Amino acid sequence: MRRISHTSRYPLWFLLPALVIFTVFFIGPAVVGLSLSFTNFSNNRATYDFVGLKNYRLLFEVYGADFTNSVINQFVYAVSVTVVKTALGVGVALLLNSAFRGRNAIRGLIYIPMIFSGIVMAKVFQYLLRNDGPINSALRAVGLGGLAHDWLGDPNTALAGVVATDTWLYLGWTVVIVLAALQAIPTEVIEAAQVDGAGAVRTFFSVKLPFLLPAINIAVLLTLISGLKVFDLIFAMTGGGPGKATEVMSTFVQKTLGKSNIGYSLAVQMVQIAIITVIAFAVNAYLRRREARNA
Amino acid sequence: MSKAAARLLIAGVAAFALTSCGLFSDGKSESPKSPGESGKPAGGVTVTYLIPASQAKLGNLDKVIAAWEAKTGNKIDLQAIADQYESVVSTRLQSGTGVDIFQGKYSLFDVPAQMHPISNTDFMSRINPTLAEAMKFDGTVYGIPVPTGINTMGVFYNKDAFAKAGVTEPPKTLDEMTAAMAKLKTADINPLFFSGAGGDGWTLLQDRNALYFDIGYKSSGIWDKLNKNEIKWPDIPEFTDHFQALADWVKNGYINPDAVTANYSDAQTAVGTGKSAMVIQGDWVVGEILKVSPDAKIGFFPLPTKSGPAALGISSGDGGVHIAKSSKVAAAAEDFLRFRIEPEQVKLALQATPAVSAFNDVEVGDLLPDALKTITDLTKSGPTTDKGETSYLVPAPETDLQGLYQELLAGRMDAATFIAQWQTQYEKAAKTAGLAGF
Repeated sequence: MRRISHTSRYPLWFLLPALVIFTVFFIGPAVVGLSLSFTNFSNNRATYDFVGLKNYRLLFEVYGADFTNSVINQFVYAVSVTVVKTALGVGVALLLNSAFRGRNAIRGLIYIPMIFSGIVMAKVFQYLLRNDGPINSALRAVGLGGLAHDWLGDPNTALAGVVATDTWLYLGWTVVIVLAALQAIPTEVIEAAQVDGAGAVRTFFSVKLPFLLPAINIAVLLTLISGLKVFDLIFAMTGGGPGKATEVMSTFVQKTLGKSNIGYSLAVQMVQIAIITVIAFAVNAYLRRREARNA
Repeated sequence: MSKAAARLLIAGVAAFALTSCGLFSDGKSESPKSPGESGKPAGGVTVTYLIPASQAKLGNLDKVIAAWEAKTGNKIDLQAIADQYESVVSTRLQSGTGVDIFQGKYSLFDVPAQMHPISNTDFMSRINPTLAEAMKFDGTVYGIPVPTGINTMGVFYNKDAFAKAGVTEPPKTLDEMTAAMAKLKTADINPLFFSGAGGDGWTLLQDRNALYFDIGYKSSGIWDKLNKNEIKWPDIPEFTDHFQALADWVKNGYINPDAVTANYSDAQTAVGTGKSAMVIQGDWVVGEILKVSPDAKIGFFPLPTKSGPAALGISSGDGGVHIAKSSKVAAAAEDFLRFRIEPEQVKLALQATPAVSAFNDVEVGDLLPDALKTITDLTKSGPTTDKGETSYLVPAPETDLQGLYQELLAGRMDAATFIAQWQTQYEKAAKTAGLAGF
């Protein structure tokens, strides 16, 4: 009996380091942050008091419209990057899975942007998308001057400009995940489909796609979550502007830090975490159900 | 050896090793060594200095630090903070560790609880009286000025561009400014340049800073009223006049069309080359313009207002540099800050970074570009004030204000909406900070 108990506890010792690290570096700060969000913890006061839900009321009553605007922008951004990166990522992965000269070089090139610093590339694209920048110069040079304009200065195109930058920068991530899944598809299954007379389109939708769905689901989930948390690109490219055209939850949180009320900043952060968590669980549940249906 | 004895031995060795390698030392509370102990001067403490990254290389700071370290045997741990400087400082002040020297305006801090009063204030008689006043909080000196001089904001202009357009005198009033802009526009020169790109939005707020100083100077007690919400921005004529004029300039095409996405470096190039005539900035822009266009002739005039030139705002590191109340090495920190403003060190700093000297025993007039000579003269002859943004207790919602500027400069918002929104943003910020009266 004693031996069985000892054996059953044995795996717990292996879990312990991870549990300790996760608790100290993740759970601990989150609990501290949640606790302080119910206080008037501030930059310019040495002490702080419990204030209940005051910071949360402040968010919804005083900044309700601003916060709603940032949530909408965040969703538009997250959905846009997810749709664009997934569609392009699957397409590029299919292309790179076929045999052609220079395939390995292009695989490397697709992944290279991810190595660059997001902030640096944000500044590069800020320059490229300027009114007098290379992209508009190229448009004018080929007679498409009518399309040229201040991409990041126009509230109607600023968010799209950041989405395009995000896509260029992190497309490699989706490509790598999908490509790995493509290469794991058993060749005999594809050959069997082809022997049965399935064309390329039918082979993709009826054979490859079911195998790819788990990988695509992961890519969608990760891209969506990163889109819901995006900060560096927007902060460096537009600062949330022009006006509030690219204001998202993360830049909204960052702005609150300059208002001397850290308790309020933490309350906003907690609401953001709650929103992301709910969305992530919902999307994950939906994708798993769809995956199960297709299995 | 039993298992228990072995564990005890290992624990003892580990504790000794950790203590010896200093893992449990915070690095700043070591006992000073006596002069003869190491052959070096007395000292041995480390002073942690948090500085905004943009200022870390100004005024030969590294050389000043090296000279002080050699003289005292102490060390300066200079930490350049790139982003969220005030938040980093506040967090460390709250925790009581990791900061001995810092800077920031008094309204951001619980001054008596978080700052060490300066014990030796002899330097106050050496500095510009307006600046000396800015070093005090409730009558006590908590700040020591930086050696890189006085900062002020106003209009910096390209003299050749003015001459080409036939503008013979710097404008003093808003009407004269508008007339000068019309001439510049006719001469195919962009009259006024703004740079509001993401990351450089702070440059827009130099216009606000210059205006706030003038409002603080002209309207006695205005900041008290604003702090208590007894007056609102739309009720302040100097404020509404200025932004109505700015909106009109936008409408007339007197502002660069890419004002929302242009960078600070674009502003330097535009004014340096004369493609744009003016920029509203802090005096630090002069050195930046001259780096890009060494031959440019750059002049300065105070922000024009309806009734004449604005009073010049005087600041130096937002109330100077402070010592943390929690510092265990406050004496050494003050010694360093006082060493840094000795006449010889100030001169070295101003040679490296030309600026208006804050110290009346340090003259660097010959080294200064024209614009800074003009500012030096104005600080001696014209009205000056320290009652600017630092007197406003409502934490500035800077990003929101930058957003409003962007909308105004892009012509998507009229002056009335801008002014109303300005008030709204400050009211929200005041409520967030829990200020009474809002």
